Amino acid sequence: MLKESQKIVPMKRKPINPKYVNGVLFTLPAIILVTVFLIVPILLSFRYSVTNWNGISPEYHFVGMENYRSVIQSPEFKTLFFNTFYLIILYVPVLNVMAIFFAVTIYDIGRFANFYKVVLFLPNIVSMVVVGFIWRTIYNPSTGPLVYILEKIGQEGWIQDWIGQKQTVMPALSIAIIWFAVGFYVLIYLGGLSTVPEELYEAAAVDGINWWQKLFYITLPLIAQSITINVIVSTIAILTLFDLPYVLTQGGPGYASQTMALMSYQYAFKAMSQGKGMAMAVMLTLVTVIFAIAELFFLNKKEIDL
Amino acid sequence: MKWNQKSKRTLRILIKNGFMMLIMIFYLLPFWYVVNNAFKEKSYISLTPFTITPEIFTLENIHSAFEKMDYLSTFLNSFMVLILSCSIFIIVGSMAAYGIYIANHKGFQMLYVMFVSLIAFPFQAAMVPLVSLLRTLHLSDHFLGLALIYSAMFMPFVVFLYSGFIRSLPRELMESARIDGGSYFKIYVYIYMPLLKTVTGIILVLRGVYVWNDLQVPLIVINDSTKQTLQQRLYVFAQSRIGNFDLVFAGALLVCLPMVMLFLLMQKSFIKGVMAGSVKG
Repeated sequence: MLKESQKIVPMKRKPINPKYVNGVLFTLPAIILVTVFLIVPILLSFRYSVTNWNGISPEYHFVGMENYRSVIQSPEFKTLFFNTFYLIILYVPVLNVMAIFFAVTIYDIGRFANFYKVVLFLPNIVSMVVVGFIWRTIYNPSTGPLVYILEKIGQEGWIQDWIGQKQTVMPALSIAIIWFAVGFYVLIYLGGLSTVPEELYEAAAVDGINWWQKLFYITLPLIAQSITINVIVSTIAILTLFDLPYVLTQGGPGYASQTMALMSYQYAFKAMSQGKGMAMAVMLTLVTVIFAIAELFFLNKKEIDL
Repeated sequence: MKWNQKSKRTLRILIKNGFMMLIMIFYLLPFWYVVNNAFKEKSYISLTPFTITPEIFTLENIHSAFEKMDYLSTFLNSFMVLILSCSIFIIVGSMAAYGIYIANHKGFQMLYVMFVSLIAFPFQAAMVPLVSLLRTLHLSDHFLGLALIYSAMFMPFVVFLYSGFIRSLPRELMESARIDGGSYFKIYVYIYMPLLKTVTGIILVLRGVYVWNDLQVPLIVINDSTKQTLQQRLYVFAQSRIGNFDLVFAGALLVCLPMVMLFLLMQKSFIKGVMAGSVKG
């Protein structure tokens, strides 16, 4: 390309700097890949969500906000909306507080630190499908191990069909998700803690501050960046989480543990209404992006304050 | 006074360890429950869920799950998907980060920002059109189709990590290599890729595990049951035998085994990878 342009207009145009030509050549595969398999499909989702396209036939019509209306007016939408905010408002803070707590505990625990890290991270290695089946058997109200333990300690009254009834399914699902996910966030916080200079703690120890003061005045401000990353990453992760709830509850009983990510799959591939599926996916995208930006904005401000 | 300080410290460490050990029970008990019941006849699972004796030990479940899941060929499917995906996103992603770096131009900086901002878009946003796109390209039921979806999905993250590391390298490196007459391609292969070994490792750990363990993408792309990945096969297998805990546990154990072994063998690199990925990112 470079040589051609030189031939056509000799001496008039400055030859393009080879670093730009190479820059384009090196980035081109990624640009094509991302455009074809990510950007265009996302844009098509937005476009098809206002049509009655069924995923196969080339013919479709513009139907305006019809898909959105039928999603929002469906009886399950209220539960869905509630569950989404339940997860973000309860799960994200609880997960992050627990992860910070474990990280601070493990950080100077000595010999067994590695063992704790390995065990906490293990659920991430065995996959959400396996973790989902493990928790499904744990919660089994007739033959599960939890029932066995409760019977052994004489608390039969506590036995319930944890994932089979509406009141308990969301807490039960949240426990399983936190059990699965916390190890990953602990490791990220430990990464953040390892950048805190040791001298700070030594100086603080000389001044005789207690554990809480140390946590709130030294540790937390210094790992503020890890907190920002983790809060945003865990929000996106929980909003888009699919495998674990799909294996554990399938959104049931009824729609009691349905999430937007599950619902967009079920609309599109189980109920075969692609339009509703994409409308749901678009709404999920908007919620994710809005939350990510809001948290980034809020936490960045906090970071500067500290 | 001094002794007092020291014993207080020891006490604190003891309390911390005690607390973490309790947490470990909460983690290890479910694993133990699956592992020990995978080697028991079904009727013993509800009778003695946490203990196993030589009299009730059997390999029958493992054997039967291995056959019924067609384990070996499913394993090979997963392995193919893993190799294809990792090769594509490592090569394409590192090249993109390198291209952005060598151009060192505002327009390319914009490209970088565009790549990275795609991180916030959930996979579900692209899901439905992707399925029909793969059908048009004759890539549904094809490992390459899966690999391309994963690669595109991870590209923002991969470019982000590689870019972060490349920028921490001194620019003089590139300048002197250029003066010595190396082409940009040679410099990429022989100088930059070896220097970026650590990032490549981090990305392989973080995204490789994701590809190996994922259910959602195979679920929508693979319909041909001979092309299923391990997780997908386990899901189908266990879903249809949900009452037969013995088989479900044996199947789950078989499916986790390869990645768990790899993790336990290379635990230091895995954990360092996850931690470093966050600090640098």
